[in-house]
Amino acid sequence: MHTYWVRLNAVFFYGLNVLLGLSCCAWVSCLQQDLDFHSDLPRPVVDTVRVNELLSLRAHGGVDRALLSFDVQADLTPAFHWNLKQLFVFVLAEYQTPKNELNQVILWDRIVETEEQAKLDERNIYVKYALIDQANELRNTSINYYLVWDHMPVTGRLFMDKGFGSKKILPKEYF
Amino acid sequence: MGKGGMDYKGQKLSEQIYLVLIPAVGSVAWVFGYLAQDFKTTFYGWLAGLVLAMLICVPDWPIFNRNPTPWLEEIPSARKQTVVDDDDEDDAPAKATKAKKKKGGKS
Repeated sequence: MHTYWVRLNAVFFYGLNVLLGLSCCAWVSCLQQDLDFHSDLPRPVVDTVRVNELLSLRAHGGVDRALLSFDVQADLTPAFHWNLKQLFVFVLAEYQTPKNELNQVILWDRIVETEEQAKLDERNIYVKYALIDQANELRNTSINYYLVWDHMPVTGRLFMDKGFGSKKILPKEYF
Repeated sequence: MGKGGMDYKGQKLSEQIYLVLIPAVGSVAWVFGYLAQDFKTTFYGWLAGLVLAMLICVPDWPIFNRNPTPWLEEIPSARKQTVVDDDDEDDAPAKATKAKKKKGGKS
């Protein structure tokens, strides 16, 4: 504490420790909402995640690829609180094939930064990423469509939540 | 100028001020942020407290120099002695005896 630099160093890094403490308090203050224990707080609602139109189902070099458009209606505003920086929202196709017990393919994603953007109402939007199988087993496969959102907090752990949308079987033949 | 040395009590006071000030301002900012449900409010409040603490505690303000460490007072007799007893008389024989002792030890 005997020179400017020692004092500047002491004040600054003590200040950072205080900020860490404040951040941890903020995390704790949101735990009830995050973990949903003993609370009557509203939860995010997924109304619709469904295929609007299947545009094609083809094999490209031995690998099946489906292109489609879909509808999404969901209200994720209840996931927001002061310790949440943003949500990473994506549409997930989940299915089982003889080759893999579980396949998960992301078809579309969006970063939601404000509560106003968290009410999703998208109709007939085209996939960002095609539904591509690891092999050629998409035909006549039942696919579950989910909406998944990844919480990205200011402080604390990253965690995901997901809501089931719909189930649809792909056609038996390529088209 | 110099390095901004405070006296000892000044250093203690400076440290006590920032140890209390930053958490105090930060806590108030946290409450405001919680009520507003906006962490940026908390962050900027904390930042304001930090800058304030830096302005108060880092510069060598006069308030931190009210208890200067006193020098020992001069002892006039001691000074006279050192002037009189310069190397010639006392030190030279002492060195000589040491040297003799060493030599004696060897032989």
